[in-house]
Amino acid sequence: MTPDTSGETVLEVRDLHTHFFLRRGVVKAVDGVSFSLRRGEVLGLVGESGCGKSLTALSLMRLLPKGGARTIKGEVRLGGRNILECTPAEMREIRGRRISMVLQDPQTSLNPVFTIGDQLREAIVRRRRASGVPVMEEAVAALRRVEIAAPEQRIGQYPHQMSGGMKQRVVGAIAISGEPGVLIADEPTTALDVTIQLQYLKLLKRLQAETGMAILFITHDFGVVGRMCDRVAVMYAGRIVECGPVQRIFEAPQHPYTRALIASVPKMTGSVGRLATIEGQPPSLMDLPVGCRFASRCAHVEQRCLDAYPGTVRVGEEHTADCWKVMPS
Amino acid sequence: MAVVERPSSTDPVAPRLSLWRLVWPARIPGGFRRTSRVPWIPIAIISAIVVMALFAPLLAPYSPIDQTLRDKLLPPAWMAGGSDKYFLGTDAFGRDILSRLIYGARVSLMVALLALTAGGGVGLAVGIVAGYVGGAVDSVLMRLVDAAFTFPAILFALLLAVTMGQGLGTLVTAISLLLWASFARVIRGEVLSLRQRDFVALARVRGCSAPRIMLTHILPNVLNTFMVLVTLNIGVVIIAEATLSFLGAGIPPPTPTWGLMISEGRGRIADAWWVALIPGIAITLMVLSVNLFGDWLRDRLDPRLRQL
Amino acid sequence: MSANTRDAAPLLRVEGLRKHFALTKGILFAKTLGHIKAVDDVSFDIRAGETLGLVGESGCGKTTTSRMILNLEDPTEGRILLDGEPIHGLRGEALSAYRARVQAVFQDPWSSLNPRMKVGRTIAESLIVNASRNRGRGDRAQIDARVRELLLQVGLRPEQAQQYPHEFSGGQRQRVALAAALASRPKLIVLDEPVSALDVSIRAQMMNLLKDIQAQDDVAYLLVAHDLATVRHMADHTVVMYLGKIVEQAPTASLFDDVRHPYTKALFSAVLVAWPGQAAEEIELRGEVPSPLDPPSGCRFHTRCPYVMPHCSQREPALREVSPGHFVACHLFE
Repeated sequence: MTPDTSGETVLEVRDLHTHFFLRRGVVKAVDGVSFSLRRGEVLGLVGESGCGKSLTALSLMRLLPKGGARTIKGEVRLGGRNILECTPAEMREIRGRRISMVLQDPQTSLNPVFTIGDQLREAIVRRRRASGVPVMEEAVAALRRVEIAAPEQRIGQYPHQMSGGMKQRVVGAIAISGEPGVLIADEPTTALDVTIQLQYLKLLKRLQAETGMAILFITHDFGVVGRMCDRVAVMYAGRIVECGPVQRIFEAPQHPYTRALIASVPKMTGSVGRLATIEGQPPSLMDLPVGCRFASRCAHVEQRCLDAYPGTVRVGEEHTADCWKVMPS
Repeated sequence: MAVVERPSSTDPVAPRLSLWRLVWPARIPGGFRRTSRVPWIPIAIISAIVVMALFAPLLAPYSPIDQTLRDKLLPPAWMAGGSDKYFLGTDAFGRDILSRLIYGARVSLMVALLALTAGGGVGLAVGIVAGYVGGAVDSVLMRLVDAAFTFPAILFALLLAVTMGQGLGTLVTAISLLLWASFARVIRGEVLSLRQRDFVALARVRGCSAPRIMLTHILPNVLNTFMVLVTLNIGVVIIAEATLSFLGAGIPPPTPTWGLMISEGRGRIADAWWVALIPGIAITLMVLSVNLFGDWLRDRLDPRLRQL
Repeated sequence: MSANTRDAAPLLRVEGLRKHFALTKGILFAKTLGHIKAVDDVSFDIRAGETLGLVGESGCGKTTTSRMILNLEDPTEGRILLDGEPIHGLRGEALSAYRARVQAVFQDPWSSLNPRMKVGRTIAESLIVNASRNRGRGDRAQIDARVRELLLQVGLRPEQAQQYPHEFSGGQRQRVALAAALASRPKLIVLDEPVSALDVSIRAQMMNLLKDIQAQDDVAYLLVAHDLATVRHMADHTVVMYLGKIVEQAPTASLFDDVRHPYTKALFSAVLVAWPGQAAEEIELRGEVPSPLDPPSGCRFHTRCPYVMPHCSQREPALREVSPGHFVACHLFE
């Protein structure tokens, strides 16, 4: 298979709202998120804790945590179909085959009482299309694909016999066993050591080149974004405030939040003076301001920022920002 | 513009699923926001029984021990042959069952209170010391716990009754010996995981001694678990008390206890069933209520104990 | 760094430190299966008022080293000296004096504070403990005043002393932990990954605060971290560890200008990824860190080293000075 460069849109999210309905109030964790994902592309979804990036991912999988979370509005189009309208049975068909997910912690992603082989086999059997290859061989092949050495031996092992990096590879093998068109990776390397992280990211890139799948890569780490992503969407308090090609976001961030965030990252070159910081706290998701959500911490705040939420402004090719003060292109 | 480098990544133990921290701050005292419904009926029943026990002399229509032989074995008031004077009927000695029930609650609750304080307290201390100090101390204490579990508790209580004589002290000692080991085991497990938390290492760095750490850092953090264990064990104690009284190893007659009342009514179950059944219902209600309440409390305070 | 401070006696000296954990099987008649060499012959100095960065991946022994410096573990071999006095085997009065001078901030803000204790009490704890050691309950008013001062110093409000940890965000908790560490006016604070659990923007605040406090109080830091950019911003000296050994050690500026050891180079290329299209010398390491239970012979890095030579698996390289103050343990530099 060769990666498709035609840029056909495989996933389109429009105006997604996922809220937590609690006794104390409504937590607007995802509040109007829109983006699209093309075949063979990696879109980074960046933001700080509590900005709603993980819940966005779970909303796409329709695997919301129990306890009052509901997607109340929006569209998630996967290959032209709004999966928010699918029945649970249809969703089970879609998950794994069309859209799949890798989570942060490989420790909890694998069941400790089954061998790696059992867990892979389950995934393969469930997602199997007509094929004459015995399941076991397919499982070994899947492990080989994620570059696990001596897969024939590994297949009989339990998760605790493997290192974190190895487990995360197995999780990856399970996730892509159904050859999904879209892979959601929610901080898959955060729990790994830096040299192992590099190996994993390169592996993901290679797998993507082979299959042409689109990846939604959720992270808080700009280094990972720089390495992995083609485009990046920056999330703040439940919304995407800026979205554009990685190079553009790094070189000329338009939204004040993106600018401040990038400036606050310690650098490997340049001077070692004081780091820039963002003062204050993000607004409570239970009590969001009517205006721009970053207004209370923004250095360039004006009256109109407090009065109304700025629309999404196109500031360059494929580059948008939600800010009153950016220049439309 | 300067080159943007990779910021340090978050460690494996960093908060996962960051959103949860927001809606549901983990590890807060009194934790868990997602509470099940408050069990009002059990709470009402427990309160009623506690009030009964506290104000027994005011509430009971008659003395629980005075015998009125001409009124013996009267059925409850609503039945044929029942008398309005004795709402729940009378026993073989003509004593008012309602009054005995009210006074009996006193004994049951007193035994529960004392046994849980003594047995639970010992278990709490043993659990904390074994879990925190570890090593040989832990091994020795836990072998003691294992030994306590192998004890035939009822047999031991009967033995105690024979050697020490019947009475409240014997009853409480016997039941405490039955309880402490299970407390110790659960608390120790809790302490083992607490000991790994950074604040314990930091307390050492700040110069706290081991007893100080156990008292100020470990103890307050296992109190939730302890309270849950206490409530879940009230039922155990009440049944143990009833069993021992029933077997004659409890409080000596004529002091009314629920277990003793059942024992006394046992021989007449065919013609005067109420004598045994009414205290039986009281025990069932009480134990059911405290267990339901304990379940709720456990869910609310300490969801990790769900397997108990 | 001026030559002056360089020659001064170090605040803390670590000499030939080793920590081997016995791996045993069975309880009563335990059988030793082997020893995990978590730390194996490590030596370095920390000077007053300076920051030493200790870098490496999980299992390299950096946390074990810091726990021995905190006197939470005893070394199997070697010594740690604070102002020339050995710290292990201290008891009673001398131990509490040591505790007052060496404090710590740990990584996980969710685990560092006792959830059942008001933060003011946590901050005051070392003062209360010291006061009770000195046969007194301590002057309440004096302790309260110090707690207020500390809260202000770390950028919190004095009235927050009355709150419980769950009322604080991760970044604020880390500030509380820092205030508690500062209470006894220590000479050295062990910072074990102090910012890695925090969000990017909060991280910068915390790093600035740590630097401000160092400038004000002249306290030395041992910064244990896996992130090179953090170390670059914080540390004067950097020590890189791999599988219990020091592989490279240099003044931070000199290390970042001129990385020598292949493992350090690999760490750097794992980090140097942010800039799209940036061409850097890239070393992707094969395989994983070997088990410290049975570390490779010779140079411990030889199983993953791209420049491995035949004698690397036979002889262990010694730390050698390749330029002033810059030490490398690698056969390439002999």
